[in-house]
Formats: sequence, C-alpha cells, structure tokens
Amino acid sequence: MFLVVVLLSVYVFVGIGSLNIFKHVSPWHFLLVDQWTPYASTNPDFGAAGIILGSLAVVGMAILIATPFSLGAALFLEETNKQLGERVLRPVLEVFVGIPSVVYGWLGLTALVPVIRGISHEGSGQSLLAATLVLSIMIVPTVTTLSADAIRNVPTALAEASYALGATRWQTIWRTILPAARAGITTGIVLGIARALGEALAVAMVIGNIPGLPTHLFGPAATMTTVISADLASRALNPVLNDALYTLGMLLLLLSLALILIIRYLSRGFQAK
Amino acid sequence: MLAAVTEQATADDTKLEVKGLNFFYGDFKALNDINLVVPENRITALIGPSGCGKSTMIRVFNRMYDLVPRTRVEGQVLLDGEDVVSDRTDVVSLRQRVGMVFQRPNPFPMSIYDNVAYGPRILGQRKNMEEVVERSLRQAALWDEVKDRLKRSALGLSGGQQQRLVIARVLAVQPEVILMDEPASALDPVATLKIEELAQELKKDYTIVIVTHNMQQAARTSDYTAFLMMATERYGELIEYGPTTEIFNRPQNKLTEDYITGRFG
Amino acid sequence: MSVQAGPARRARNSARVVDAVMTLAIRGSAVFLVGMLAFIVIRLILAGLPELNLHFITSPPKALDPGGGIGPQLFNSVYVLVLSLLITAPIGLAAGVYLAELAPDNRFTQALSVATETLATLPSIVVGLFGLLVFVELTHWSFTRLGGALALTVINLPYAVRVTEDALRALPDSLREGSLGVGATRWQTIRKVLLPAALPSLITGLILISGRAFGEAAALLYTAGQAALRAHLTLDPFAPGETLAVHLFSYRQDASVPDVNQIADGTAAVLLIVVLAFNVGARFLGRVAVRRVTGK
Repeated sequence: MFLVVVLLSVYVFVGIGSLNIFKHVSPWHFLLVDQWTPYASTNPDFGAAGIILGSLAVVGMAILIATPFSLGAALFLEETNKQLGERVLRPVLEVFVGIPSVVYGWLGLTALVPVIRGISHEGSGQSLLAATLVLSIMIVPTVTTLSADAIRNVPTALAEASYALGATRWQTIWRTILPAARAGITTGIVLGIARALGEALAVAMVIGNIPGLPTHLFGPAATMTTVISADLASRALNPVLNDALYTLGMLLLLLSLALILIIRYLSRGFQAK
Repeated sequence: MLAAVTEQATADDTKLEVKGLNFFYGDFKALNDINLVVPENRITALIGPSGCGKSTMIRVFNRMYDLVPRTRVEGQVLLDGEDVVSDRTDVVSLRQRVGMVFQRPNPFPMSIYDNVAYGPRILGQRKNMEEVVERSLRQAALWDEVKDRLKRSALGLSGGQQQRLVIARVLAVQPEVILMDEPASALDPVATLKIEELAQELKKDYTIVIVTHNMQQAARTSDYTAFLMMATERYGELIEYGPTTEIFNRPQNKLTEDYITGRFG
Repeated sequence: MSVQAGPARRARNSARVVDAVMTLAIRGSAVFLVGMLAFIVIRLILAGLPELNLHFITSPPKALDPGGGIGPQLFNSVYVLVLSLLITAPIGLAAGVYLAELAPDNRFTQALSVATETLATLPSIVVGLFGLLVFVELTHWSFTRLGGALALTVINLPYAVRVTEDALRALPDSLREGSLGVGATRWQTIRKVLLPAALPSLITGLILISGRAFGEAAALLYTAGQAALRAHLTLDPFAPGETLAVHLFSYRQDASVPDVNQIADGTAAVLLIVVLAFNVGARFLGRVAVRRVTGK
C-alpha cells in the first residue's frame, strides 16, 4: 500500500519532468527572442521571451500590490483588532481562498475589464493591468495567513521590551515585530509568487493572450500559463507547437520548484538562528 | 486588613505616590486599596508570597497593564505629583520616564549597539549616538565586557550580561525611575550579585523599585520595603511598609513578622 | 531632564502621528478586503440570480438558441469529483496513516514527506499538461472523465495525505497508550480507536478538498475535455465530460448563443454557491468535531 503511494508520487514527478523535454527550438532562441508565431505558415517561430516576461511582469506587479494589503490585514488580525479580526477577517479570508479561479476570471472579465476599457479608451480592456489586479486579489489570502502566523510567533517579551522603552505601537511593529517575523513573511510572499505564477485560467480570461513584450499596462499580453491554456487546443495540428508548449510547462515547473526550494532554504536558515 | 503606612523619613523626597489603588482584571479584583510612597533616589522593594500582586503592582507604575485586555484601575498613582493612570496621561512619555527591567532578559535580536540605541532612536535622537551607547553601557557596568563587540548579536551574551544590557537599554533613554521585576531570578548567584551592586550604584541618580521573592536580597539591597499579601478575598493588599531596617528588625504587623521569619511563603 | 526638551517632544509627536496614520492604514486594508469580498459575492450572485432555476440546472446547453442550461456540466462536475475522491481517499488515508503512525524516522520517510509536499505545489495547468500526456495520449483514451478524475487525484492527493496526517497527529497519545495497553495491535489501534476519533477532522478535510476540486478547471480542461453538447447523462467513465468550471472558462469564447453572458453569469453563481456551501459545511462540521473531541 505504501509502495503505491511512493511510486505514485515519485513517478508523477519524474513523469512530468522527463516527458516534457521535447525537441527544443534551440534553448537560447526560445528564451531570449520575442517572436511567438506558431501559426505562421512560412516560418513559424517560437521565441518565448515576451511570454516569459509577461509572466514575470504580471506576477511581480501582483505581489507588489498584494503585499502591503496582506501585511495590513495580518497586523489587523494579530496586533490592532484581534477579536474583530478573528471573527470577521479570518472567515473572509477563508472564503477568498475557496473561490474557484475561473470565477475570479469571470468577475475580472465582467467587472474589471470594462472599467479599464473605459479608462484607457483603447482595445477591449483585457490587459496587463487587469491580470495584475485579479492576481493580486487571489494571492492576498495566502500572504496574509502566513504573515499573520509569523507575527503571532514573535515572543511577546520582545514587544513588551519595546513598549517599556516608550515606543508607540507602530514603532514597535515596524522596528521589532516585523523584523522578527521576517522569515515567515518572506515565506508567505514567495508562496504568493508561486501561486501567482501557476495561475492559468483566471489570467487567461482577462489578459487578452497576445504574446509580445509586456510594455503597455493597458494593452494585452500573455503569460506562460495563458499561452499553454489557449494554444494547447491546436496541438494536434502543429506538433512543434505541442513541444514548445510542453517546454513552457517544463519552465513553469522548474520555476515553481525553484521557489519551493527557496522557501525550504529560508525556513531552515532562519531556524538555525 | 489595615495597611500600615509608617511615617516617611522626612529627609527623602517623594517620587511616586500611590493613593487608594484598586486594580481589576475584568471583574476580578487583583489589588485592594494600596497606599504607598516611593522615595526618590532610593531603592524600594516589594516583597510577598507568590500571587500577592507584586508584579501587577509594579506594572501599574509604567502602565504596562495597558497591553492586557480588560484591565481597569481605580485610584491615583502620582509621579512627581501628576497622576499617571488617568485617561489623559501620555503613556508613551511615561514609559520613557519610568523604565522597566523584566524577569527574563529580553534583548532584541540585534547587535548590542542597536539594542542600546533602540530607545534613543525612537525618541528621534540621532546625534552623538556612540557617546550615548557608551555612557549607558558604562552605567550598566557592561562596557568593558562588550566594548570590542558592539556590533555582534546581543543573543550571544550570557544571561547576566543580557540583563545588564537590558538595563543599559533602559538607561539610554534617561529615565527617572527604574522598575525591576525580579531582575535576578533567572540568573546565577554571581550575576545576581552584580545586579544588586549595580542597583546600589544607580540609586544615586535614579529611583528604583524592585520586586523580589528573595527576602535576603530585599534586606541587603533596599532602603524601603513594602510587604504585600493576598487576602482571603483573593486580592493583594499592602500589609506593612517602611524603612527596610524597621521592617526586618521590628515589624509592626504579625503577618509581616511571620513572613520574614519564614513561617510561610 | 534633557530628553524632555524640544527635539524629543517633536520626535515623539511625529511618532504619534505616524502611529495614528499607520493604524488607520492597517484598519483600512482590512476593511477594504472585507468590502471587496462582499462586493464579489453580492455581484456574482445578483448577476446570476435571474438564471437560477430548475430548468437551468437540469437542461443541456443549446447550440444556437437562447435558453440553454448547464445540466450536463453540473452532473459532470459531481461525477468527476466523486470518481476522483474514490481514488484519492483510500490512497491518501493509507499514506497519511503510514506517515503519522507507522513510518520509521529515516531518510526514506523524509523523502516521502518532501515528495508529497512538493506535489502539492504543482501549478494546476502543469498537472493538466501532464494529464494530457499520460491520461489522454499515452493511454489513447482521448478525453475522458476518468482522465479528469485522475488528474484531480494528482492535485488532491497531497492534501488528502496532509489532512489525514494532521488529524492523526492531533490525537493525544493517551488514546494510543490506552489501546496498546490492553493488548491491541497497532493495526487494531489504528482501525478501531484512532481513525474513528479522527473522523470529524477527516470529514472536514474531505469537504474542503472537495470544495477545491469542484472549482478546479485548469487541470480538467485538457483531460476531461470540453465536449459541451453531450446531452446524455451517462455513467461511463470513459466518456468526455466538460465540468462546470471548464464550462465557465470556454463557453464565452466558443459559444454562439445570444445569451452567452447570462449563462456564464449563472454558471459563475452556481459555482460560487456550491463552493461556499462546501466551505460553510466544513466549518460547521469542524465546530461539531471540536465539540465532540473536547466536550464528550
């Protein structure tokens, strides 16, 4: 019975890995060139730079927006309004986590995209900005819960010492509590990044899925995940595209793995203190 | 039970005065009708069996009970004549004037230098930081031991050194009163002695209130002693208070005498 | 005293101002988040409300005319979920029991733990990719609900293992000691004492996993497929089956009926309501579980 489990886990892993290494179109070209034209009949190209940058841009911006809100919420839960926070904010966060990603995508499509279209007066409103905002909301609960845990674990003696010297609450938070909770908060942030990176459908619904360098906030773009979701349908007709998509998948996998390793390394590093 | 407040030695000025203090955790009364005077530049010890409310009492002086939910205070506590337990008190300023050393040393996980500099930085003092740090560490009798490793983490110090670092940290904000809640209970006898000697030095410039469960320590270190006990109603009361020599040699209350001679507690 | 002088007082005052501002910011973010959730839920439900009737939930989607429903998709969602749970639960339970109770403390066990944890972090689209490769192409099954269920299993298994492990570890040792003390074997202890005691937590965990799985789309997109027009509610695991979540994703792009948006609104609302129901149910059961463990 146990062996089944073992086999399953390891196999799945290795399985994904090995089966994804299909014919590359020269790795450098893939990574560095922004020229994704798989449907071009004469000279189809698979430079995925724009797509990769798209992923990075969306995820990067999303985490930048989400983190302040998450820290605020975490501090609300642990420092400023503990009782109210437990009764109201925590259930709210749990519900946030439970909402399916396609529902977030749909919401973004019906509520956010028209607004962006109105503001920017161009295109459909499906844009980098829309994807960023949708992702931000999706990762806030993750970052918040982990940060709140980290903050809770800071020994009260430290906060007491700070208050006894005549510090205001914010001074104590900023100078003592947050630095002491650094490890857990960072873990939360990295986990949020990992989640954002892997999100496919919600982003696909609001980003427009047009591969290219992500320069224009109000313009459409594409990420690794959206390209996979969209183009996989045409894989039968275009075997090289199929392979390219699997390579993107492999890239995603490696990136998530790297992030997880970073988290393990961090938690070990901070425990050693 | 009556609180016997002995006549104050008129030579000492009053730094802190407690008038009719009642303290509550929610509905539970923890301290009952405390009346006490803490003289300036002297060491006043609070003694009594465990659970009698000494720690609660000392935390009233710097409003640390604010950190605990549902606490309530009746009566007055005057610092240089001004009430510090009223709603209008500026608690942040109060805590700079009345510093505290805790039972377990709690240095911040930063360098020794940063620990001492923490207080002044909070007050917005940026100039002459090195001088301030050195002066505070000298006052705490720690300078010689750490002057070559100021930038190293405070957590690498021994327990006794950490406690002196905490004292230096408090001194850096130039308080007027230093509260010590069983400062040596987590330390070995050698370190304990150092802390006691330090207190004797510090009282020249500061007013010190020390909570201790160690009677011998109270007897040899303090100038004044206040004896608290838990009444049958489960709140703490001040049984007797006066110059240490009087309390230990000629206690006026039978309960005090019993405690001192070790019949209970 | 010199600290009371001008610069110190100014610094203290500005620190007070900063404190007030930041406290406001902290409270503001919390309020913002709560408000955002309220907005999301209310908007989704209001938008989908007109669609929610028996007809919508039971009838199949139409190809060109308005008035279609999501019957088959709803059925598929449930079907795939149940199928997946049938596979996940036993394996997850077994693995969790193994890790919590029987495993020796060696490198192999550690590796197993690590593997499980890492499995939990796979992006679902990558699992979908894997599923496509293995459960669709390699097996020559083409799109099937079984394939979807297996892909879901890959996603859910680590959580099932963790839930079981946590539930068992939370049980006090006194239970184990009591049972072993009367001469029961480890197996008997596990079967007759520990598992029943952990049952409420296990069920709660199961419900939460189900809620998550119900809303999963990325992994099912290319494993269970997007066949939307199959009107027959078969029980054949090898039939393709578009689930509700996948439907929400692809419908708007593919369909050509005039009431696309309303149907999608209805779909979203149904999804939300079901997931919320799972969530609330789990929470309620959780409370019952705690009462049982502590009160009884």
